[in-house]
Amino acid sequence: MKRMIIHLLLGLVFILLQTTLFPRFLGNGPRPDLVLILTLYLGIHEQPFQGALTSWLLGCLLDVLSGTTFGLYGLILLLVFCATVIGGRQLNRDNAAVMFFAAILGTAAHDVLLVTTLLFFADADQGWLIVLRQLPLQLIFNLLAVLAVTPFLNRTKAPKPLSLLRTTR
Amino acid sequence: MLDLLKRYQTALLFCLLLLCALLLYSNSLRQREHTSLFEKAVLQLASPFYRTIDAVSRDSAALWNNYIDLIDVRQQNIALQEQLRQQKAHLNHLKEIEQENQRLKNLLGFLESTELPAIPARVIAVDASSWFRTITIDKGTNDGLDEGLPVVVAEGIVGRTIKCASRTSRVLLIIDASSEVAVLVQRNRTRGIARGQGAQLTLEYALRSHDVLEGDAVVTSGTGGVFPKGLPVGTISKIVRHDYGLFQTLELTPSVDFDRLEDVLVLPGETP
Repeated sequence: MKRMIIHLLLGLVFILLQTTLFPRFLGNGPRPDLVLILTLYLGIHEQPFQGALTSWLLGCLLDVLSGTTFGLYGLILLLVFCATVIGGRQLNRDNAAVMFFAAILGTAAHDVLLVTTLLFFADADQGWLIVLRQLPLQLIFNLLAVLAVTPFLNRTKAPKPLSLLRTTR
Repeated sequence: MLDLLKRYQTALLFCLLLLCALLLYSNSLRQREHTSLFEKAVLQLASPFYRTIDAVSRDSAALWNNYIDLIDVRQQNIALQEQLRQQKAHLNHLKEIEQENQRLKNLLGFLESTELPAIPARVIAVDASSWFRTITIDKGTNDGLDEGLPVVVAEGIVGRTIKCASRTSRVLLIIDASSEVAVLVQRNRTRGIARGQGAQLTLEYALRSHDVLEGDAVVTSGTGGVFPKGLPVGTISKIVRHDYGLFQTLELTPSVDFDRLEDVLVLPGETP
């Protein structure tokens, strides 16, 4: 529960950065999606249900300050989290490269889900063109964000159980 | 049965959460221009942070621009003084036209249109994601704002309010993909719908038979129920006429620079 609150507060700080500081330097176009990086991190390192609930709430927070329909990012980040849990648990989670791999696939999955949801449920017309046009630059920004943010996120990681430490010793 | 539930506990909880998320989104789709209590609370919570960050960044920018970055100021000053002389002459000419216009109006018996009330607001944040085009302003329901009000600047229309908390509101910009504005070409009154494309606009449903030229000004038609008539939207930058079909597609360059929005005006008297 304590980690969940920490992650939600961290998410709120990330959203504030995305809405105020980044646009001053990068304009209205692509900018690092720190909330997505946090969701991917939760998918790899957090307990499944707690992580899912945190991701959904993070998405709902993002919805208040983004887009036009409340719940869109809640749904998308929850689906991204599910995909990360299914795929990420097969990998060595302690390897630093896993987060970069997750960022590449996660950014692509996030955009595909966004386009699909907008096309199926909302009248977004050619909104998918904007998403696709910005994808390459978004990918680069997200990879840079992984590099900058992962050391901070690692501090919120749950400590390994003592029993596990004893057996490895 | 209990064993089955225990075995698939995580999967079932996942499905339940997914269903909740889908239902919430589906419900929000039906009432887009309604600000829920949760949204109001988060907007309210974020408001002091936004104001502080905005004040700090403005002060830093002012410090940089006014005291540090002063290269070419003398040349700029000379050029601006020359420009000011020309503008003064132009202003005198416009005053003459204004007086003439007033006389003609009186002659024709037109009623003087009352000035639209406007609430000035400051842009304190932009959209959290790169895909949507919305901004957050520092005025809300306490200042008389409501959902669906037009937002403008001197150069033209900006968008409309979509979510309002007590001291902050969110504005959907006209360049967002989900934004549509009823417009007409000023020169020949060709009607159409301006739709956002992220950075540009497209004018759709303009009849193919109408002659439209690059550089033509496009203004609001006043028929959409949000914006008053005659406000600048943009200028035509590209014309696409296919060999068949009823309509032509026109690309518009917005008259407002959305990357440099700082202060806007909300028109509360224009509720549909």
